[in-house]
Amino acid sequence: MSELFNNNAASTMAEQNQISKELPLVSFEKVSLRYRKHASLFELFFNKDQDQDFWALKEISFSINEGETLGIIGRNGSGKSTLSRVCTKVYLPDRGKVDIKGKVQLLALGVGFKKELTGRENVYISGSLLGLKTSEIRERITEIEEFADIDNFFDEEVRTYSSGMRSRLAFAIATAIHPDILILDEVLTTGDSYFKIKAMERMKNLHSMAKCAIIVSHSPAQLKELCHRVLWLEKGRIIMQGGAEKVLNAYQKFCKNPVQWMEQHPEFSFNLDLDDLKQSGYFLYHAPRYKSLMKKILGYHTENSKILEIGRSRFSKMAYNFFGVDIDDMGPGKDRKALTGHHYQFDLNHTQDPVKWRKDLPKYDIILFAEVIEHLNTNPLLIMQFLKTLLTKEGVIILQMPNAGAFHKKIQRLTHINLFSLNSGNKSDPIHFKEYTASEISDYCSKAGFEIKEMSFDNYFDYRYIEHANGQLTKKSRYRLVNMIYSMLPKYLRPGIGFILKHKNI
Amino acid sequence: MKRLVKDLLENRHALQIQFKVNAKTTVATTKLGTLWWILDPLFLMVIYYFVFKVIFNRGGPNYHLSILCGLVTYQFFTRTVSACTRALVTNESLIKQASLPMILYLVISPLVQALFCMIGYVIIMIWNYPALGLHTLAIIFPVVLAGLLTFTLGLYLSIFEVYVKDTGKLIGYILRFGLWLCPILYSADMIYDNPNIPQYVKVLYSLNPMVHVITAVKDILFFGKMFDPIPLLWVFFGILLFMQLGLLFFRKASPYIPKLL
Repeated sequence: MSELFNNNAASTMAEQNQISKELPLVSFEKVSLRYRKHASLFELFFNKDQDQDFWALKEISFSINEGETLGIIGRNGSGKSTLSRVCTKVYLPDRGKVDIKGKVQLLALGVGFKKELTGRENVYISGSLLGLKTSEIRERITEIEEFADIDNFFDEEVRTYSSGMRSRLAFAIATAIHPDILILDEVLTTGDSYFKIKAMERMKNLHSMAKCAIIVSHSPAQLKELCHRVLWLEKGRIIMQGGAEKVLNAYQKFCKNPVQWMEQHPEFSFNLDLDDLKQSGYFLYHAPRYKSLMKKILGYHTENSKILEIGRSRFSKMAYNFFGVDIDDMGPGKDRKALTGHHYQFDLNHTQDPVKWRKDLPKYDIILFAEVIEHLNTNPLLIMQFLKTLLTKEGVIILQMPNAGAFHKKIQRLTHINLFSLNSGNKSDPIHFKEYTASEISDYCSKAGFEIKEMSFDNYFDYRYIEHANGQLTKKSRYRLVNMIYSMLPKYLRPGIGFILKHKNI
Repeated sequence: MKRLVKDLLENRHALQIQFKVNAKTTVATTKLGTLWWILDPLFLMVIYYFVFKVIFNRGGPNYHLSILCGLVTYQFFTRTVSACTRALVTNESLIKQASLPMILYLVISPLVQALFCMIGYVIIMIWNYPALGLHTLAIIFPVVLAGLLTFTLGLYLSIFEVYVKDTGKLIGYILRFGLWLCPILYSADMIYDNPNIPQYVKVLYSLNPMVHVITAVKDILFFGKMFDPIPLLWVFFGILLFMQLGLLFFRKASPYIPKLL
């Protein structure tokens, strides 16, 4: 087989084809497609996004011109077959635009085959289902019979064929069609060696069969041989597209160690992380809090705002994507350039010792201090005084924290239930050391030299996802009642508190 | 409706081949082959004749032929409705690979079953040849009507089956029950003329389109007379209305179906 993929062999399609500069035959513009976990007839009339939708394709954009052959590669479950079905118009996208000029055909093997009928009869069945008229099939039947190379078996029932004979017959029929756009979805992975050799020979003349082609394959070697460009899909997104050699080499390196490759190429992995984020139970549980945070930021954000987040979180990526500005962060780990901005090393527990305060840090217009203070075992006064040194004159600190006076906390106190989770002794375990009431934090902030511009009590969590564990998506509808109860309670009993703090006397 | 006709014309070659293939494969692996197309209705007739004539001693002369008229028609109806209900689910791979519009998978089964139905009618005509006349040619109308009815039901049921897999099972039981709601083992007059049956039941009974189709078939093949066209005209217009709504429903649902299969 290796000689088939010898690049020194007869000229490849890439050398033979002249690429047209005219309008593309296939054009995808930000195409997204989802599969619904629980479909119902109501979606015919009320087609809203659901939490548990699985987005198999996310914002796919590419185009193919006449004379081009595009390869699509990716791991299992990356969305390759889904993409090929959108190209053949079997699936319609849920978002975005698909423009296809001309007749498109999926090269599918054994379409409509009936085992009880003969090979000859199946030629007519399959050919007609693939769009050929009876007269056209009659014209091509000799050519099909020759390619299939199954001798007298052609007039025997297909159930007597071997898998190789079936594949050859099916391939012969499928390649007798000459559409404008031909799509091959892993057709060369089945069948015996003889079939693969015959199929590859015919594939080298793809340009005589169609104006352009899309080849979906797991085999980088095949795609290098047959394609001009390659598109690499991973988790429904395009990781890379470009010259076949470049993309396939990167793909092969990725396959050897995907985690390492993603870490080394954060510019490609970013969007995938964001997708995972939206599907995680943690994100959905905290979604109301993130929404509240976004609203507060929007009240103060300008085009040139410098933003610092204390403790890098899932929110950083979201905010970076939304605002389009760098979001620096501060926490453990050495100073480094991060994808969303710059990371600065400083543990706020070290504010106990002002000598250790970092004085080399830039000043920020917005400091996000959300769901952190309760994890620190340091005097909040010192923490706030330190943060004040990082704030520009007109800057604001947006502080979010759990409300120690929340309704469920009061119940827990009355019933002597532990207010905080037990300390496991594990340094990386993010437990709550202390939660504060609104008045406590107001006092600390005032003493630290802040003016409280705004204080609000909010419902920070979607309790339906309270049982999220390890980032899994779990939803308990009975907790909808908890959400309802909290929305009806007086504000000071709600689970979260938000502050917007400014320098005093500005 | 125009789009349906356009699809039918554009894909007539594929439809023609699918018709032949589906007709052939019903008996392709059997020893007797196409002889089963004739034996099938004959065996049915023998069974019901034995049960009702020999065992229960019911019905007048040629009662077996009267039953056969109804059975052949109702069998056409039930087999087609069942096949249309499963049409999208059983043709999943074709829908994803072939270029045939989805709606045409609902057309193939009525055409194939209509062929078998006509073979059954020919057997009845041969057996009951004194009833033959010019009116016999009118047999095509109830067949076409039954075909349109099953296609219309298929437009809804095929979609339901994709969303709710129980649909096929439920339809099976309804069709079995439906045998007793049609004038197969009895004549429709026994219902209409029975003073013990409440009026609303008679009205409901008359709303069953197969009552009128089977009555028309019996009139032509058994009684040797022309059928009353008025009830069939009402059935025809009712089918047209539901078909139009069904076509809209099917087209609305079509984009979602391949992903669900």
